[in-house]
Amino acid sequence: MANDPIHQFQIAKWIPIEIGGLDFSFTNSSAFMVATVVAAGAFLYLTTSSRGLVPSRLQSVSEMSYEFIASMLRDAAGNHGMRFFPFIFTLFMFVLVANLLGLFPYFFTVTSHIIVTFALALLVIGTVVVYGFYKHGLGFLKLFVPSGVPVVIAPLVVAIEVVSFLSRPISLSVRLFANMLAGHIALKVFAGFVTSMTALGIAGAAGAVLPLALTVAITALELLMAFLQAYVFVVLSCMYINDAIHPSH
Amino acid sequence: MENLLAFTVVGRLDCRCPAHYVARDFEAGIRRPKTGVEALMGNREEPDGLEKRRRDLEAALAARRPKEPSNAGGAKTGGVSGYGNALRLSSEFIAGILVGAGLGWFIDEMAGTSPWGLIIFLLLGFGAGVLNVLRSAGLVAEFGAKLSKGGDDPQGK
Repeated sequence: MANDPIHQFQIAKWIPIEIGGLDFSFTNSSAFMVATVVAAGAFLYLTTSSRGLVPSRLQSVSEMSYEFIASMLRDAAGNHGMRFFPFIFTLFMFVLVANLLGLFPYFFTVTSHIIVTFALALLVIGTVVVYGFYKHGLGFLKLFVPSGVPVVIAPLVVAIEVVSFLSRPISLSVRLFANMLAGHIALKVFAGFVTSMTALGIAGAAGAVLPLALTVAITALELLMAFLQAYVFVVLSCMYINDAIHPSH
Repeated sequence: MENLLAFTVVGRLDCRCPAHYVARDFEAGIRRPKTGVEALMGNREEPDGLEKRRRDLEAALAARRPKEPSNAGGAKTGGVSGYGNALRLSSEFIAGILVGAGLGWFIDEMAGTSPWGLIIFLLLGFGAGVLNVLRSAGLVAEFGAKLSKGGDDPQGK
């Protein structure tokens, strides 16, 4: 286990459950998703429970996160978009807290598995498609026909736009997953260098200072990435939802 | 200290600029007006025409301006660092190609048109990938936003 950088992503079944031949086991991934939800929920609930007119530090953190997402959503999707605020805010808190929890040593990073991020992205795109058709009917399909395109090349343009639209959940999920995976592997590899170089003797131990310093630096970078990726995920979700609300500008 | 000096100079320039930005000769022609209103009332020939044109240009620029920041915002969402931007653009491109290839393969499986679906959709996916990259770099208009009429702006975007 010591030097295997992939080991941290292995799924372990904690409570095996099987229903009708399907695997519903409670794994370490599920456990950390539950932990994420509990941590995010408890944080927001406890910090805002006092409802001070002059907010305490923690209360102002949760108020700032609220304001942050609300203003971003309003910018991206207008006032109509605010009906998606609970969805977007939940998404943001889930991804952010999952990323941050993953930074603790020996913790499992939920968002480093593409199936999790892909499910989140499908949720976003599903919302966009369902709401778009519900609100605009077939007019939603105008999204794929840019106005002012000559009839001759319209089929080609529409085909490319459709493929481009379908690629959105992929790029949304791959970006988050790849960032988390690459960051954690890099962290583990450099941390592994420290131990293996120290084992070489005095000279190795002296040289091990370099990867140790790098590990510290990468940890800081990962902290930034944890926030940034949650933000990017949610910003793009807002832009896609804006398409559902106003398909043809 | 130096900063302060620079600031006051800039401030002075700023508050007098309407007069100074007009060509010198015109200004010399006008008797130094007491107030701006009087200047407007008094002689509205050449300088006023210039002033009006300048204001029109300002208004035209202002009308144009909202588009630029919104576009820049779209490009900025990738992240503050170039690293984030690079990852973002590459993932957009790869996603386009992957989806194209997957779609082509699926159609081939369904319809039994073995190589053709994959070939055509791979090319389409390449196009979509390039489009994605250009779009997320803010070089191409957003979905359905091409050649939009001006009246649609209040809708939110």
